[in-house]
Amino acid sequence: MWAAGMLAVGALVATVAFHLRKQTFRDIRVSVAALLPEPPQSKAPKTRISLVAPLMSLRFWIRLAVIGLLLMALAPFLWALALPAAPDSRAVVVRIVLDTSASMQVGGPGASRFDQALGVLAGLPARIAAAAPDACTEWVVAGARLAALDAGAALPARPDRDGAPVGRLLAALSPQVAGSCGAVPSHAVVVTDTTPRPVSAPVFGGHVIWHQVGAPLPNAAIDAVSLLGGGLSGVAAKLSVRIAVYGADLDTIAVTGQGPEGPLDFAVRRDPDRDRGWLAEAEVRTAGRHDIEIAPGGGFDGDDRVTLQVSDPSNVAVDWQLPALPAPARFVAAPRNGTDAIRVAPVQALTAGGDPARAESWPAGRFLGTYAGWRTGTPTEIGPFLHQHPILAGLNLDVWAAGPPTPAGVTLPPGFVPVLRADLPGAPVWIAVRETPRGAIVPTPVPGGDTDQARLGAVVFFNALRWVAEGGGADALTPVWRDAQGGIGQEALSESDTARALAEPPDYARLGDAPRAAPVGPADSPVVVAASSGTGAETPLAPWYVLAALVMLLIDRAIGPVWRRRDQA
Amino acid sequence: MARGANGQQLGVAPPLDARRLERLRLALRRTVPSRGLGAHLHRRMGQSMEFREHRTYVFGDDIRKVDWAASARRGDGDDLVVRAFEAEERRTLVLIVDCRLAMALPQPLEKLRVAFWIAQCVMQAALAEGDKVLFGTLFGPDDTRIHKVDGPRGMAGVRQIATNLLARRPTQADWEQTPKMRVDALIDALPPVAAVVVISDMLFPDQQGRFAALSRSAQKGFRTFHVVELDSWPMERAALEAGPFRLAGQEGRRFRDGLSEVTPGFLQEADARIAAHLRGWRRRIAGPGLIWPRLPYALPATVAPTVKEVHGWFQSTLPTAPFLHGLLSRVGL
Repeated sequence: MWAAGMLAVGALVATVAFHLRKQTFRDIRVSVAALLPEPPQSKAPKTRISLVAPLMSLRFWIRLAVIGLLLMALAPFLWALALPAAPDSRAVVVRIVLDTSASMQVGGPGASRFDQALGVLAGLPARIAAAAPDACTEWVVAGARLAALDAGAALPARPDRDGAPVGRLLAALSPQVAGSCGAVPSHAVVVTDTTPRPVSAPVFGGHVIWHQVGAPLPNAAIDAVSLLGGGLSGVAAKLSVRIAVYGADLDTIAVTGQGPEGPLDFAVRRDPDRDRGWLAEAEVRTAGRHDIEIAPGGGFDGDDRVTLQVSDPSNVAVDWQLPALPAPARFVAAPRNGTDAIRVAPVQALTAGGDPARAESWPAGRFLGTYAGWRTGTPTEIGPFLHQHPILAGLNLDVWAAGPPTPAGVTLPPGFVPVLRADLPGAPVWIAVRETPRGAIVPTPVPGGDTDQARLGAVVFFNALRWVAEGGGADALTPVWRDAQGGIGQEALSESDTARALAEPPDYARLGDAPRAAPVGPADSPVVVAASSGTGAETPLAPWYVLAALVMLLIDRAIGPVWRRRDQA
Repeated sequence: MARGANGQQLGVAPPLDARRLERLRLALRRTVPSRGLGAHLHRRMGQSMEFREHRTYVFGDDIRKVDWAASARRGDGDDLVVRAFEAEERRTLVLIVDCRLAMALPQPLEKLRVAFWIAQCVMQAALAEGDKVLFGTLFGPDDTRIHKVDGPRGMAGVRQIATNLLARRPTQADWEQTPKMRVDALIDALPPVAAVVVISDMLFPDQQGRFAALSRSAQKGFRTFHVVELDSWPMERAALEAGPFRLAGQEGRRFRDGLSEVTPGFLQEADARIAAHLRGWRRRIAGPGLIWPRLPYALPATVAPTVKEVHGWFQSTLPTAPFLHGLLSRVGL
């Protein structure tokens, strides 16, 4: 940016010099030209410098305005970025960031990464004092929580149980985290088990020393758990466990589980889609709590165990409210306190008391709404429809068009998607769905009957029911990771990669570097916030300044010929 | 409108008010009538051919009016006698203004502007005399049209023509074109008795003898052909002498692209060429009806005169301009 600034200054000087230049000759036109001989050549110079300010030259002012606008556009970048500063331009404030996320416990008591970090921190005050005797030091812990410690406060004795994304360490550098020194830090020391990463100036404009601790350790983690089959799929329900491995590959891995009716028998195999990954599947027959564990778990134990609740894997709980249509045997009545049952009811009952055009009027859980549409329908062309939607599977749309149901007559609220529409004014809807949580609106099937309408109605209805049932309930599978002590760890998977290579120790001589010319001032100053966060509290004006400069350039080009004629007149 | 050096504007109307012009006209009319004096540069025009008297021949009289028999009878040696006729005072004034692009120079006091000033002054005086006035152009956009000027409306029309011509913004290509003259309409419009006045700098070439043909027609019968020569060379010469310059080409003449400056030799050569050109014209159009004063009407020799200076120059020089006497007075020069 220095170069840009110098360029701007150079442009300013060049513009002034250009306009101080005056022509030494005149362009003359005489009426006797046809009779004149060739005039002798002149050796005079064509231009000279005249130290008369070109105050009356509009083009001069336009060009100055262009340079000024470009400088204004560049100003925030010149202001916000770190520039070399003269020594002693501002105080040295060192922010020490300690990673307290769950992975810092790796290594075991007394030799964990957290212990190593504490060892590093113990030596920091001496290093800081040697490099900058007058420096102010402040402490910030970044783990499950992000907090600046008061001056003199003790460091935490152990890391958090929960994990944290790497971004939390970067957020800890922000001046918006007000440290005990009460000023924008000029230096930062980050002690963590994550690998060093570049910190851009908008995030932190000072000098960053990244100290990684912890030798790499291989780790295995339960990455995801899902339920396959069951319900109306026609196959037995299975728990599918996906396992990720970091660092050295495992020759084998054991997956054990326990459900309400006893141990789960997992079949383990390599994951063909991921390097060093594993898949384990076990049939599940009973609803309730299931615990799954892998062994060996590797360096970090917070990702080796999950607990999850499984709804009835074989049956689908429904709240059946269609008296004219008996519920199929595979559907079981919803328990009284069940919140995951599928409501099967007429649309009017589902939205009773509410405006169907509003999303809030519809059930929050899964539902299948029906409307009395199958009457003697007049042939109607099919309008827009979702090609290959599961609800339309096996449907003969030609037969449908020959005798369709009357459209639902419902104004679809936000979140609902039409699946099949009629080619009529307003494109009325026959079938509509909601994706999350699943819901569907279909014509009420005609019980019995061997007509086309009866068959179409049944196909559509049960397709919709299966589609809604396969969507899974709100609490169907929400794995909760636990550590060896059974404690729940949030963001556990953020800590799984304990096999990161250990970087070389950093150069602490940078503690002696002069602070960069970042904005000095209270941390909540808009300029400081803008410079540090890179997102500015206000709308950036730089593009408008550039646009204005371009407009001025166009004006300069447009008036050039006119102004030149005027100058010569 | 052109601007003077101080940014004020020069107008199309002549900087000579009507009262002053009227006084000038009357002053010129109080001169001694032609009786006993020659009128070699001024023809009394009229429809009547009634003989009035014999008088002694003076240099400049039309040799066709010499009464040889009476001269022989007089027997005074070299003295000849001419017949003088009664002539009606009403005559036709035909004013022709040269509208070449070169007449739009020099800036800011264009010869074209001065030409229209002179034309308007003369027209006004002629109309006050009760003369008929016709107006035409040479090298103009519409040379075929002859305008009848018979009062304020006609004068306004002439001013509009002047405004339009002075407002031209020619390109370099326009300047380099050779101007074309059309005179047929002018020749056809000349009445039998007329004073034909051409206001020009006479620096144009004679294309295929057209101007010479006009001159001949304008000197036939009882017509007189007046040339009001405008001379801007002193002003343009002063502009060239002011420092290095880059000369723009025009009317087919091109100059080198670099800087030039005048030398005494260059100016001497330029003077000689201009004088030779004008001499050539005098020879080509010489005739008994030609009235072309020796001294041209010269623009001020100042490079950038102010509006006030220009007005002062016109007001002081026009009343004593040689061509004016020939036009407005009953006396020849």
